[in-house]
Amino acid sequence: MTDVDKILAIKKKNEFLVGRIYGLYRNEFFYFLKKSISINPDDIQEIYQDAFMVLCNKIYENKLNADNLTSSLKSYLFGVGIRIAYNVNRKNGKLPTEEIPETIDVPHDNEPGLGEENEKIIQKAVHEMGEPCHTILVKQYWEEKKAEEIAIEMNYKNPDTAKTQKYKCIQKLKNELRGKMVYQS
Amino acid sequence: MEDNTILEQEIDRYLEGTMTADENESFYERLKFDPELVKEVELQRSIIRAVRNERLGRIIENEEKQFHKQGRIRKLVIAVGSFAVAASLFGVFYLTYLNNCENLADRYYVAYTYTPLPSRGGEIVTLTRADSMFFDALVELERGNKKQAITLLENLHHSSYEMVAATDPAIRWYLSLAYLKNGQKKKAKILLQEIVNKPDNEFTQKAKNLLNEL
Repeated sequence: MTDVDKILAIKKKNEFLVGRIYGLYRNEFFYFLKKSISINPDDIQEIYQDAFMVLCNKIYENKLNADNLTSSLKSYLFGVGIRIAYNVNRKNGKLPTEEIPETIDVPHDNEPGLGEENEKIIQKAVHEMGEPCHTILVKQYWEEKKAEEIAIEMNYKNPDTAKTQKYKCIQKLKNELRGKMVYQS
Repeated sequence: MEDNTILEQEIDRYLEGTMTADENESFYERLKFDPELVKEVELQRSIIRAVRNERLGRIIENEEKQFHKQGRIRKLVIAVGSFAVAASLFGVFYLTYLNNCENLADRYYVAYTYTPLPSRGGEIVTLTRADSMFFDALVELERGNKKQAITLLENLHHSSYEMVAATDPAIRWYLSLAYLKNGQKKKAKILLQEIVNKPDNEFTQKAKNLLNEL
């Protein structure tokens, strides 16, 4: 399986292959991180999971594709992982004495985003969302189904009703989040 | 509500990359001057990401379960494998030991010869039942039926049957060889020592030699 095949499998959300790709580099990453940086071994699994999610989201948002991949997918993933590991150390007050080795390709994270804390709040809110909103959002954003398909699968009168329901759900979620999120001045 | 829905549709299309070039450019311009719109875009992007991450989290969880399961199986295989290797080594060692004992017993085994004593005054000396048992035991031993031979010889050894052909040292000697063939070195040694301790007889020297070798 080439890197292009892997990117396509992630893009198409082939759950079996996504799992395989996750497992493919897992043990090697654990070894690589232990070798590269002083890190609490208990944190490594979580760091790898976060790195893998970042990689997948870059692919879903088309920020990483077969055309702009300058190194191998593995190097990219490991680079993201080591950046996360440095941030974990920094957060734990354990500033790394060594710099990230130049041999490691560390992708730049130039997105302002909403901040880690807010991302966690959003993640929790999505997880706790009731039905039918949760299913609609999963069908729309994970399964990438069209309004027509969602309408059939969820017994809505027509695609417009499905669309309206989806936006109602998003608005409800956003209103909930506005009260919880932390905005920096 | 309607305005919000239109805005969210626009944001969706912007994030999906399905806007036309003109629409995209105009939306991008609005973003430059509208910090609230930037927040809305970021929020919607984060919601979409959260939905994906939730699903990715499940995939990862399943994969991790597989890893842990494989880890447990690997540990089990290693444990069973180690046990099998240890058992095989012990088996090889034990078989070698048995083989050595048996070879040694075979070297010392000589068929028992009984010369009937000359009869006095025409009186016929007949063999007793115990003698028959003794010869039966030797036959079993020659056939390789060690356990049967041991049972018969032990019966004779612990009894006070009247015997004509078999003697007490002979019973001890053949029983010790039977023990040795069966890998019961310790029991064989005790019997051999008993032969040596008895008054000199036809098995004394053989018993001494065998004890030395053991």
